[in-house]
Amino acid sequence: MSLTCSEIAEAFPEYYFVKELGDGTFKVACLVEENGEQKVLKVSKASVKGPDANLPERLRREIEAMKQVDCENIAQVLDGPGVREIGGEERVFYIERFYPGETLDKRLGSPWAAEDTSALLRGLLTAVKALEEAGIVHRDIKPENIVFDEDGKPVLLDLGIAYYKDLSSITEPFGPSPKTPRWAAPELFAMRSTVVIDSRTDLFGVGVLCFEAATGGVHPFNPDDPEHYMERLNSGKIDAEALKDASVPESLAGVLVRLLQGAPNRRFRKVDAALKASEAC
Amino acid sequence: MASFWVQQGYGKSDKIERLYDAGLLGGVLLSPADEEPPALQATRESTPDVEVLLDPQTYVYSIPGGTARCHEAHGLAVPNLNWGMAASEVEAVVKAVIDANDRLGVTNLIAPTVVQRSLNDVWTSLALQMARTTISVVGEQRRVYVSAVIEEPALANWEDVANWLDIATGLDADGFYVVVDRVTQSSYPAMWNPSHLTNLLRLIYSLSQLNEYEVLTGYSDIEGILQIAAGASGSAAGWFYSLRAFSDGKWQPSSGGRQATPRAFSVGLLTPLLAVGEGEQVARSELAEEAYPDEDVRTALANNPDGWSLVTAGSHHLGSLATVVNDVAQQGSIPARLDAVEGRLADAHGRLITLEQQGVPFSGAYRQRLETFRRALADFRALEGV
Repeated sequence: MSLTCSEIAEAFPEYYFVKELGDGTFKVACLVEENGEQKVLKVSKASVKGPDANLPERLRREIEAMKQVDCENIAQVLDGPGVREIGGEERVFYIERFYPGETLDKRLGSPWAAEDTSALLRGLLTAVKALEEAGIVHRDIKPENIVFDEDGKPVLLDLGIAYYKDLSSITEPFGPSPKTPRWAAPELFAMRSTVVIDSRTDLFGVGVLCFEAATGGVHPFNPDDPEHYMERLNSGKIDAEALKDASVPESLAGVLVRLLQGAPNRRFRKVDAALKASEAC
Repeated sequence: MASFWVQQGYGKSDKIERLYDAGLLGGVLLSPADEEPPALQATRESTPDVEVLLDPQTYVYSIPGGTARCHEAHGLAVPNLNWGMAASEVEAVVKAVIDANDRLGVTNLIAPTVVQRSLNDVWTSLALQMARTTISVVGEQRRVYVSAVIEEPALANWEDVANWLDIATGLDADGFYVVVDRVTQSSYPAMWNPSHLTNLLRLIYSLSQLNEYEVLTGYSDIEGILQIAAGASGSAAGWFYSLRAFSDGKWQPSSGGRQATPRAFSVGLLTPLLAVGEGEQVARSELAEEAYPDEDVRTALANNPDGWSLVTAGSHHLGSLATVVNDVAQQGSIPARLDAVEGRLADAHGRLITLEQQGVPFSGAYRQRLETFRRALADFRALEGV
């Protein structure tokens, strides 16, 4: 599974290799340049058999979904997927638009102004709404998966563990959903076959991120204290003091509280309703 | 716009038209199990300015021994209804419901369903499948109300209700038609377990206020005012006791019981008193005007309680209840509605005690029922923070 930047650069002579952007579990992302335009080249670490080989299902779904959803708040696929010999093995690659802003985790040091948090909220809800309309649940909304475009708009990346309502599940129904626990909705911790996973799951993730932005990185449920963490998560008992300390306006706090309810039926039923509420913040 | 709906059954005479003419009617729930198509068509045509919906009543076939006298004529008989139905069979039921609505000229639809003994058994999945299929077949051209006919004990545990809500609120419907099967009740007026009623109010609040569905409650009675306060947009009751509390017995063959004793609903006491004895004494008491604001009613009960017929009782009950339900709905916000109902309940409770102290021999169940309502409402407000 190992893959180096020099192997990628060697396999793509048509691009000027700028730098490595990230090295994840499944993919390596590199910043490349072509005709003066910067792009992101993503290469799957797993090898496939032969140039006509079937793409791994999860990757195929991810790329198809990103191509299908037309939303400025969701990362845009420019080209691919393709298969090429990289580092001595056949691997899948695709090209994404490059967003020059840093990832959200780099910006969570101090409390954001209310209008900036509201703009983040609206941008992320717009992304989740586009996914909802396509029958997709992202399931991994976290700071590392949010970048910012030239105008400062948030852009959601990485549909790698998304759930597709109209496709058969590729995860074990008698186990919990894939997730990044710190930003995961309570239903993602439960056995897949016993809970509802839909856009309301993503609303919870948006709520956590915007709470962190509004409070300067305070998590609404304090996962660093694991005792009773699930209880706090399920009951929707947020760190209300943090919102007060950061002087978060009541209207914005009200929307965040609603997004962070433990039971999906107590969040907004439709993303559109959350978006409308956020417009009044 | 009125919020009181009539739960239609057989023997309607002119009761619906009278409410309609008085501007007290918000809508009509037609009963194809009880009446042939021409009768339902006539009802629909006689109330052109209010919403008319057809409760398909397919739940009859999930009740042991359940039968529906007029279902065949509507193409709605589903004697083979069972929890193992194939998708094609469910779709056939849905199409039969759509056809029955079309024949009557009813635009918006109540989805077929079954009685849910609990909120997580095999019947639940069939009920959800019927709802999903209806939404899918109908598309966006007509409004769809999902039916939820739930046995009262299923409301005992809030966690079960909340888990059901997580699934139900994923349905892309316009509204819910909620009926509680008062399975353990046989006498009128039926008592409530306060925690079950609290959970019902929370269910209505979640559907209507948090999830923005329109909620209609069927086979309701005085508790309808609590349901309206919790967020329901309509509450339906009928002229017979069996149309004010849903029970399996209505749909099972019987040799007929003894005739009901006429009651006179007191708006001021929020209680249906026995016309002879209770109503009679109250109509002669110093609280008569508060208990029965209508002078004609006071006079009739005070002077000739034996002449208070079942027909009169049925019409009077509906008219009085409609007035209270509509008044509560017009309060606007949920807290304002809740305040209004709490005020009415407190006043009614105080009057009952006063009258008891003055020697009117009420059934102890009346006061207990009001206390149950007050407790359920207080618990609901505390739990939902409204």
